[in-house]
Amino acid sequence: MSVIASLQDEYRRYKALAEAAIAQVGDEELGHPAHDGGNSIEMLIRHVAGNLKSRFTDFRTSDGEKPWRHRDDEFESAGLSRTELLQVWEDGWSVLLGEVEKLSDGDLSATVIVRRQPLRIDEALHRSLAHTAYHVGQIVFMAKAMRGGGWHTLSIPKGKSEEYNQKAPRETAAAHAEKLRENSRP
Amino acid sequence: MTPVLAAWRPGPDRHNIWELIVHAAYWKYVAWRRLTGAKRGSFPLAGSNFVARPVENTKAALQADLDLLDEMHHVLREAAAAVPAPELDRGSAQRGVTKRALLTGVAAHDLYHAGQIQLLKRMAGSR
Repeated sequence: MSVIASLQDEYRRYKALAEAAIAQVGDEELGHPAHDGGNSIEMLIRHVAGNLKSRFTDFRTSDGEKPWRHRDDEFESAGLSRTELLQVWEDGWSVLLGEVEKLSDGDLSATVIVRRQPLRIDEALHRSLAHTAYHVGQIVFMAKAMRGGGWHTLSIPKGKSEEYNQKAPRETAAAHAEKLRENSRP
Repeated sequence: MTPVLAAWRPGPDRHNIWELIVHAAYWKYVAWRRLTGAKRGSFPLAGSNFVARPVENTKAALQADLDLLDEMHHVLREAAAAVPAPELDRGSAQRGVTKRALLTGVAAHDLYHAGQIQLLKRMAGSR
């Protein structure tokens, strides 16, 4: 498996994790902050999508922090409907996945610019994946708090760790993402 | 971080920061085991995945778990650095998962829970 393929699979895993969590949250709950003055799931969706869209539009030829991106606005409520919000989410991800699709491991030592700083492509991708996983963790945590006992688990069910380990499942990131998508279908 | 903050839960049956610390240590151990082919059973704590914390709500107990996290991180990093580059694309002890995918996965897993730890700190602070 190439470096690019392993990164693509992890990106898709975290995309699927977020979507499986968002699917369990009511429309109004998307806008609820985690605490007073805190971020809502809506804000985190727009922040992750805004970051991906900015970083990966003209990825190799322009600075990853675009003049048209207004990062601070991502942390203000935009009052979007679920459909609009998911469109914003998909827009960001499609730019990322489309750009990564064009890369091969031979490109990894080339340089891109983020906020006027040069970064190797492999560093830029790992940093982006880390940022995405960080906020997806928060989206999942908040969604779980909203669902409480009705939460459909996205990983190993409570008390089933030993059973899971014994089976030593063939759980690649891609397989995990596919399982999450299947379970999220109505 | 104080033991009180590390032990704070946002609700019943929700994990606290302390449990996320031990969870991250456990999965670094699992990744190390799958990378090196070591046998099961050498994680220093009883239990797996999520281990209930705290047992003792003291600074020393929290520090012991932070030290465990550091140790598992160090051991995994050393094992990863020792893998020759061509070996990265070969299988690990986790079926169907290359060593490279294993390492990419455990790094992202760390960040996933780091985001939750940061969120928990803010939630606890806003009470």
